[in-house]
Parts: sequence; structure tokens; C-alpha cells
Amino acid sequence: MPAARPPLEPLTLAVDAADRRIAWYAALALALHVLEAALPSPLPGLKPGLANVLVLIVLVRHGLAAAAWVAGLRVLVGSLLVGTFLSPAFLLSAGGALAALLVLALAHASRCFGPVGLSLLAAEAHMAMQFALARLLLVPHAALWQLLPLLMTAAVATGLAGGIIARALLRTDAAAGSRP
Amino acid sequence: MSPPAPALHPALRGRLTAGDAVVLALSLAGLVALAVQLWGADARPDTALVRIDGREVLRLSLAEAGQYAVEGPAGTTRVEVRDGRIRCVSSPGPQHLCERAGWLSHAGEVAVGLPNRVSIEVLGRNRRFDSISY
Amino acid sequence: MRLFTFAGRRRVAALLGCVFALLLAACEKPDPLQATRLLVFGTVVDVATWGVTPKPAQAAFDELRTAFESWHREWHAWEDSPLSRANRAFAAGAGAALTPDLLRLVSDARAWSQASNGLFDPAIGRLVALWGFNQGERPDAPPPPPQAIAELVNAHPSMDDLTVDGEQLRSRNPQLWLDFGGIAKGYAVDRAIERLRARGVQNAIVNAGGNLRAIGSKDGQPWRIGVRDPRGPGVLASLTITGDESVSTSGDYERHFEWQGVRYHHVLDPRSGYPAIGAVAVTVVAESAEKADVASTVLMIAGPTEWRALARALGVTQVLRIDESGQVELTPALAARLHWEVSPPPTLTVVPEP
Repeated sequence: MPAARPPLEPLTLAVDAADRRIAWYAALALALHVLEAALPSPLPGLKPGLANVLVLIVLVRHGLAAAAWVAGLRVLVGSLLVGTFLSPAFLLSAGGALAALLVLALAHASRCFGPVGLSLLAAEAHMAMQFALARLLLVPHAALWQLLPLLMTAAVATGLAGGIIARALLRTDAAAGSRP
Repeated sequence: MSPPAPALHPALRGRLTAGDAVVLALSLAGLVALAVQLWGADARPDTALVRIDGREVLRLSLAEAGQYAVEGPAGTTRVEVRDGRIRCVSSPGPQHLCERAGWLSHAGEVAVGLPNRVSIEVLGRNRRFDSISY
Repeated sequence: MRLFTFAGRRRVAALLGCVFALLLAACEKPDPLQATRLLVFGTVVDVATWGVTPKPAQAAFDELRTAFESWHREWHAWEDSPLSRANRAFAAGAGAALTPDLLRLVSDARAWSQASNGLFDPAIGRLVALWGFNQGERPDAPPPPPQAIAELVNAHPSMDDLTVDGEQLRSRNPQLWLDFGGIAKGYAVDRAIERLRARGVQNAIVNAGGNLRAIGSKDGQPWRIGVRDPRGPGVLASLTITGDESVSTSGDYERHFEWQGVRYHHVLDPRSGYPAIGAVAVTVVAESAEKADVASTVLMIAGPTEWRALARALGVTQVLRIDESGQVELTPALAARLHWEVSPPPTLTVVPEP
């Protein structure tokens, strides 16, 4: 994996450019997170997943550590903002984000996938983990399986859309030959 | 600020890679498989099979209410479908075992009328039990 | 936006082809679970196999259908059969030659009868007929007169009345009439499992009228067995089986009739000549279907104080007994593996090891 930036130095109080970048991305991810929380959803767990797109872009531009920071901050602060911290919804959100991040990291390292494939894989991993956690912790009922095809269809749709958005943004980068 | 990798990462080239296509194709195929597996005809107990002497004579959707009559060796067995359930309304025989079984709605539930060699069974893959001791 | 500007178009096409071929192959794979329902043997026989392709499974089912039909013809106590002919010969004081299966049933039944102090008594066929339980379905009509019942009880036919005379069997008691209702299903299930094994079937369930034996497993998972709720629709409890075990339940809800608000069921107590009282259902888990069948019948007859001693005498450790007041008693070995399917679960009494 290309090291996009020097490692973090959490013990120094000096704020470097990398920290600012993470803060900036995390703030953006948080805005998206809160926005999505406010959107009416026909089914719990059905979200556009725009915050994941951001994590994907950060991963591609700045590497795994930065992406992990953005994802972690998004889940943690987002749940505090929305008021779901340590609730079952938080567990689902954290589990999904973690699964998505792991799959993203592996898929990205394999150098086989572009933004569309990465986004699809991340969205599917996110949904699959959320579903598994919901099945185990919240609704121990076999009827939940009936929802899975619907949820996974949503995951593929949002993953594809997110992938196309990420691709467009990353292409703009490449065309401009510059990175923020 | 960071030097570009010797060969630009495919994600940064912003291309649809072969890997992307495979992921997309597998995703769509997976969706179809998932829907077939979980929503397929066998997944939900929405069909009932009426047999005479082991031979299928009626295959009924439990979604459509109706009354049906089948002829067996001992006479006529009447079955009724209503509200996603099926039952034996009348069947020849002194003990009326078929009628006593009541409404059937879960996959694997069975009503049998021995004199008329009739059996009614709700179909479905997600049976809770492989066999019942009774 | 050019979505499909990737290189190696042919490689992708080949990959996609493989994926779809795999999907198709998965679709065409036959269901590893093959099952059939046979209306034979005067009851419902369900057979299921796992991991056998449809053709050999169907061949096995056909063999079992033929076998059950021939056993039914051979063992019927009242319709013309080798057994009913022997019964008539016994009544006339004559000897009768039996088929190998019937001889084995007689010798097994005699052993069970001795082990159960005569509570298991296939010699009381006349009593069964007096009650009308020899017919397919007993209409709701008055029970037999007490005098007729007492006469048959006092004649005391038992398996000990049978004597071997060379190739032939004789009865010292003209009132002896063999009816293998309490053992035939279990015996037949054991023979059916043997036949499936001889065909190389490793995973199967044979269930004859609620008396079942399961071998192997299903997709690496144990077979899930439900135990019927004697006083409601559906399943009271469940257990899982891997390897080779049998479950049998005797209940007052099986063959029975009602007269003036009283339920008369088919499990007759040879001591009184009347349907056994006390238990509404007894479930036994044992190593063979025959043992489970006999034990569930005998423990249904045994009273509330004697069933544990009888279970010990029969070598049975897994028993569930439900009495008329709804009290549920079970042995520790069964309590450890039984899962309740009703909520709230019934109030239980786990009795000490029988």
C-alpha cells in the first residue's frame, strides 16, 4: 500500500496537515451521517451510505490509517450527535463500518479493484455485518431472512451509486493532477 | 505531497477494472440467488399439496381462498383454503382424523384421512422439524 | 462517463461465463433431501434420505413401500394373513408354522413381555377386537360390556402360553390371539433402516405412525425431531439426533373413541382389560425403534409409581411422561437434551435416574 503520509504522532500537540485533513474529512462524513440519519427510511438499516463513499475516497487518497480515523470518528461522534451512542443501533453502525473498512483495506491492497468494485464490496460487507448483528442481537427470528434480499439489493444499488460518485471525484483528481 | 506509486493504483486511475466488473456481476448474480433462495416458491409455506394414495391430485396456493373436492377410494374429501391456511372440511371415515387435524398453515404440517387415502401437506423448505413423534 | 473501458475484455467474459456456469450447475443440483410419504401399514410412513440422488432414493422408497405392504399382509391379526391363520389354529388347539419375520416378532415380544412383567402383552388380541381397535377406525359407540372384558382378562392369555413344537407353534390357551400392534411399527422401522443401510444410505429417517428412527445427519446437522403436544396442536418439545436413535410416543389421542364424554384409547392394560389410565402420553428415546415402541406402550400402561422401575427393567433411560393433570415428568437423561417448543414451558418434575 502506498504510504500517503507519515505516521500519526498522537502525543504531540502540534496539529499537522494530516490531522487537519482527517478532521476536515471526518467533519464532512459527520455532516453526511447526520443528514442521512434525518432522512426518512422505509426500513431500518436502509441508508444511502454516502459516508462510506467518503471513507473510500480517503482510503484511496491518503491510505488506511486516515480512512480508519475518518470511519471511526464518524461512527463515534455521529452516534453522540444523533443520540444513539452504545445503543443497539450504534453497535450495528460500528460493526458495519468496521466490516466495510476491513473489506476495503483488503480489496484496496489487492490492487484488483477500482472505485466501483471497492464501493460495492464495502457496501455489501457493511450490510451483511449489520444484518448478521441484527439477527443475532436484535431480532432472533427467522422471518428476518425475508428482508435480506431487499436489504442486499439496496446495498448493491447504493454501493454502485457511491462507486460511480467516488470514481468521478477521483478522476477529477487524476485529471487535475493534484490532490488536496 | 506524497510521491505517486510507480504504477498508479487502479482506484486512482479511475477506471472500471476487470475486478470491478467481476464484483458487479457477482453482486447481481448473488442478489438473484438470494431472492430465489429466500423468496422462492419453496421458501414460504404458501402451497399445499393434496394427494390420494401418494399421487398428487391438487396443488393449491394458500393465498387464494376456495373449496375443493377430491375423489378417493372411500368417497369425497372436501378441503378448504382460507386466510393462508388449509383444512379438511369433510372426509369419509368414522373418526374424522383428517378434519380433526384442523387448519394447517406451517410448512410440513399434515392432515391424513386413511379411509380415503388422502393426505394434505403444506409445502416449504424451512421446516422446523425433520420428523415428528406422535 | 465510459463505464466499460477496461482492458482484458475477453478475460472478463471468460470469468463471467465461469460464474454463470457455476450458478447454473448450482441450480441443477438435485435436492439432497429426498422424501416420500407412504400410506401403508394402516398408517402413514414418512421416509426421508439425505445425500442420495433422486433415482436411487426413489428405488429405495419403492422397496420400502413393497416391504411395508407385505409386512402389513403378513402380520395383520384379523384379515386373512399368516398371522390370523396362526391365531385361528391356536384357538382350535392346532399348531401353526410362522414366517421368519413373525417368528422373530414372537421371540422379541416374548422377551419384552417377560421384561415388563406381562404389561406388554401381544396375546390379548381378542381384547383389542372386543374394544373394536382392530378396525381401521373405531366409531364412537358404547364400550364393550364389563362382563365380556372380565371374561377375557380372567382367561389371562399371555406370551408364555406359546410353546414351540418342532417347526410349529402352539398355544396352551385357546383365548390367545396375537396382535403385534405395540411392537410391529417399531420392528418394521428397524427392518426398513436395515434395508436403507444395505443400499448404502447413511442418512435417513423412517417414521411409521409417529414411531421413528433417524440415522446419520442432514447436511452435517443433526436431525431435528419434534414431540407432539398431547393436548394441543403442534409440537411440545424437540430434540436432535445424530448417529442412530429412535423416538416413539404412545398417546391417548391416537386410535380412540369417545362415548358419553369419556375418551377410550387403544392402549389396553392387560390387567384390567380397560384403556390404561394415568398417562396421556409417554415418549421414549432408545437405541432401536422396536425398543422405543414397546417401552412407550408399556410405560403408558404402567402407573405413576411403577413406571420408573419398569423403565429400569426395560433398560430405558430417556422417558417423558405426561399425566392426565398435565404434570410432566421426565428422566434426567432426556431433560438434558429436550428443548421446549411451547411457551411458557410446562412445569416439570425431573425424576431421579430410573
